[in-house]
Order: sequence, then C-alpha cells, then structure tokens
Amino acid sequence: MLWINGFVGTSPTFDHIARILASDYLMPLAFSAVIFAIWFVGRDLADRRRYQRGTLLSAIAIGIANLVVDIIDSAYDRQRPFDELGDSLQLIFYRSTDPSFPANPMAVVFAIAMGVWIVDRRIGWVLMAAAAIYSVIRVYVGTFYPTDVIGGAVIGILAALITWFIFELLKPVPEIFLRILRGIGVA
Amino acid sequence: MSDQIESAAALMVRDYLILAFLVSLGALQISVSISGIRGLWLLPRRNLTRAFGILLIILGLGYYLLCPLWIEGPWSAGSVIDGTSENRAWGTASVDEISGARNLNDIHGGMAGTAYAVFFVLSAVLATFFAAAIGTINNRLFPSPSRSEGDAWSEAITQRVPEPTGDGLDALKNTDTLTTLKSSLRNLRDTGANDIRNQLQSAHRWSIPSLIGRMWRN
Repeated sequence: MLWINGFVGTSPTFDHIARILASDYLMPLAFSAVIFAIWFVGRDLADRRRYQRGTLLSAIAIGIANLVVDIIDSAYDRQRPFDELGDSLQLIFYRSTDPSFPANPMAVVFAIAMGVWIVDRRIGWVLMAAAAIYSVIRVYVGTFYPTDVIGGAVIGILAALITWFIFELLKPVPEIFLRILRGIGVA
Repeated sequence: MSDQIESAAALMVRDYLILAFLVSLGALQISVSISGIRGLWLLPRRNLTRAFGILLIILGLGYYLLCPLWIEGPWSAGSVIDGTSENRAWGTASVDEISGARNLNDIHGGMAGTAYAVFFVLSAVLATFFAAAIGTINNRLFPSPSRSEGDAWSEAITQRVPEPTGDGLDALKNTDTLTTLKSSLRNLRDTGANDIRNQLQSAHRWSIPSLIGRMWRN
C-alpha cells in the first residue's frame, strides 16, 4: 500500500491524472455507458439479444454486488488507510467516511466487466483492464488498501457469475423479457 | 453551512446530469452507427453519426471537468490541498485545482454512489428518447436509401418513410421509432404468445420454468 502510494508527488502531472481517474464519476460513468451502448450494438437479432443479455446481466450483478458490500459494511467496519496510517500516507483524494473493505466502486466496475466478458470476451477484457487500472489508482491516491480493492473485485466478479447462473436457471425468462421489450420497440 | 451543502449538491447534480446525458447520447450514437439502427441516428450519415457521438462524449467530459474554472462552487480542497474532508470557500477553481475540483465527499455536497447510478439511468433514458425523437424527424426528412450514401438533401423530401421489416430495434434500421412502435406492438400481439411458448418449450429440462411446468403437468 505504502509502496504504491509512495509515488505520489513524483510526477505532479500523473497525480492530476490519478485524481481524475480515481474520481467517483469518470470510470463508473464510462462503464455504465458501455453497458448502455452494447444494448444497441448487435448487427442482427441474435447478436443483439446476446449483448442485451449482457446489459441485463451486468445491471443485476451491480445490484447483487452492492447488496453484498452493504451487508459486509454493516458487519465489519474497516478503517480507511488515511485514518490508520496517518502522516505516512499521502492522500490526494477526499476523505471517504464509509468502511474501507470491500471497495464498493471496484465491486461495481468488476461486476460490469465480468457481465460484459460473459457475452463478449474482447470488450470484457478491455473493461477488466480498465477496472484493474481503476483499482490500482484508488490505492495510489490513498483511499483504499490493496485488499479492499481485491475484495471488491472478487465480489463484483462473483456477483456477475451468480447472475449468469441465475439466468441459466431461469432460462428462458430473460429471453421472454427481451421479447416483450422488443414488442414495445426498445430491444 | 447546510445551505452551502445543498447548493453544492444541486450544482453537482445539474452538472452530472449534463455530463451523463451527453456521454450516453454519444455512446448511443457510436453504438447505433455500428449496428446501423438508422432510426436513432442524429445525423443522416453513418460516419457523421459516429464522429458526432465521439464529439458529444468529449464535450460532456470537457464541460464537466473545465466548468469549475468559470462557475463558482465549493470545488474540493480535500483532494488538492491537504487531504482534509472540508471544502474550501465558494469560488472558481484554478487550473491547478481542476483535476480534484469534482472530487467532493457526499457529506459535503458531493453525490453518493446510488445517486450517480440513478442519474445515469435517467440520462440514458432521456438520451434514448431524444435520439428517437430526432431520429423520427430525421428519418422523415431523409428516408433510408439516402441516409447512408448519396445526396441526402436532394432526394429527401420526395421519398416516403418505408414500412418496417421485423420489430423492435431491428425495424429501426430502415424506419423511425413512431412507425416501428406500431409494427412492434402488432407483432407482439400476433406472434408474441407463440414466441414465448416456443421459448418455454426449448428451455433445458433443469431450468426452473421447465421444472415448474413438469410439476404442474404431474
């Protein structure tokens, strides 16, 4: 943790980039825009249905991941690194007040990345890489421990896999849902 | 202090809605330009639509990141000065503060994670309605054969809006949302029940709907 955070101040330009990348708005918005965009991206009906399944899967996985994070947060209140490590840490982000473990933003972005990976490996890997960068940056700016982001990532990935499993169990309910949405012109 | 937090929250919500709307509209334009769903294009040609999508995303991010330079707000001192949770006095941000200006804690007027999610969904829905409305107008002025190639302007007015083939977004490839909606609803009424029955019959034997169906029959 301190090793990664120790590079803060080495390059002011990189610190500026890190503050933007670590923000609450940029990466989550980019990931959300991707799952919104893939709803429309398929070239034919079968292709589109596959991607729309990915959007549904990711959206439900986000809900499950958040629920798991909330349950863990209510049972285990891990202090933020800036509270525990004090002056040995260089914080270049705001002081979050919610528990540190597991990292909620990581749970969300990894749930999306895994949900997309299930339907499209290529876009999925790109999102996984972006989610990994987001995780490292959050540790760099001093707002999470590495174990927080790993915990968040595991929760997100598992949430997407569980959602996929539920989709398989409920087959063809998601397909019927998409058929109805197609009937009202939105899928 | 609480008045200031409320004003900060309103400012953050307004700016985030603008950002999310522009980014979703941009992502939508890129996406529909790839899939050829002309009914949601804002511009009459594929390449123009894609370029416009990219431009919208850049505009949205540019606005959100740079507007603290000229709009007064509680731009976060927390991420640019000393890592405290407090915001500094209301004012514009300097160039050096831009990267951290939007990093506001939710207890000081920033937005919580749930708010980001809700406002994104709202913006995405708005962006889709907007694209559908403009796409409908666009499609009536520039019907499909002239929309991706050829001289759109000269042929536009003389052509009729084509009948949709298929339903849902598929039908939007050659016509507009208004026309598609009618045919999609008609298809759902005529073939929907049959489609759903076929889907249920093709489900694997361990799927929950199949299990329930078997239990029901027994």
